[in-house]
Amino acid sequence: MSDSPRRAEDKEFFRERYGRTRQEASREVERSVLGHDVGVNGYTTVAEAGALVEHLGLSPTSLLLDLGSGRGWPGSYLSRLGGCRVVLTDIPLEALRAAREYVETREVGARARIVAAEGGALPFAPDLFDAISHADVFC
Amino acid sequence: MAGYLIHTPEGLGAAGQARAAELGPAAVGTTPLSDLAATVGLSLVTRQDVTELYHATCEGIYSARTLHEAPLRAEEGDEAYEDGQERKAGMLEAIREGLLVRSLVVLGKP
Repeated sequence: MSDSPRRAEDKEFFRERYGRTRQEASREVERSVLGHDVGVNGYTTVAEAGALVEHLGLSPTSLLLDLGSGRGWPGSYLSRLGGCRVVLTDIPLEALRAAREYVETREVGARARIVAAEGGALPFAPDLFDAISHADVFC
Repeated sequence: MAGYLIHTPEGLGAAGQARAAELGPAAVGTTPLSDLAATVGLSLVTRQDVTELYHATCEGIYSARTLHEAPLRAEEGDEAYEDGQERKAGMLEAIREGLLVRSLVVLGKP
């Protein structure tokens, strides 16, 4: 099924945005407001992401699915806090390439897997994950 | 399942939904949260309104981008920078008008 014009436009918007090389100014904007500089399109602060750990019941034995991860947020952060394995998913390959670099620098590389997938058609077996996270994705 | 959603408040009429879609993020949620949960086979455990912080964050981003205008214009290009600021201003307007809310939503198995 082909995308609607609006959906195709949105996909192109995110591809362009994630493909852009980020400079210090945009990083500083994120750091000052959100507390991190991952390069996100959402509004989830570090504190808000941290609150998800308890709600999700994350532990080192958990397997977490993060939907719409973008460049790796908040899934990689949740993995770092909860000590759990994480599968980061999104559509734009530009974002997922950046996510791969990000998880390696945040020491969760060994616990993270990155999959290009759309939320409505995930290539995973039912009940595979212990928890599912998302931030400003389902809008 | 837990996460943050930007959506329209329940009971918002068609005109409000349309304005929220115009001013809000790429795809504003308009489905009631309980229905959204049911579509994935889960039920709503808890919903916490975080709109106040969402407004503050959006305002903070807009202000910070204004403060760093020159280097951001160089980084993004004039059109992208101005479009970004326009989107943020529109979103702030929608939040103030009560057209957009943000929630921490926790879903669980029924």
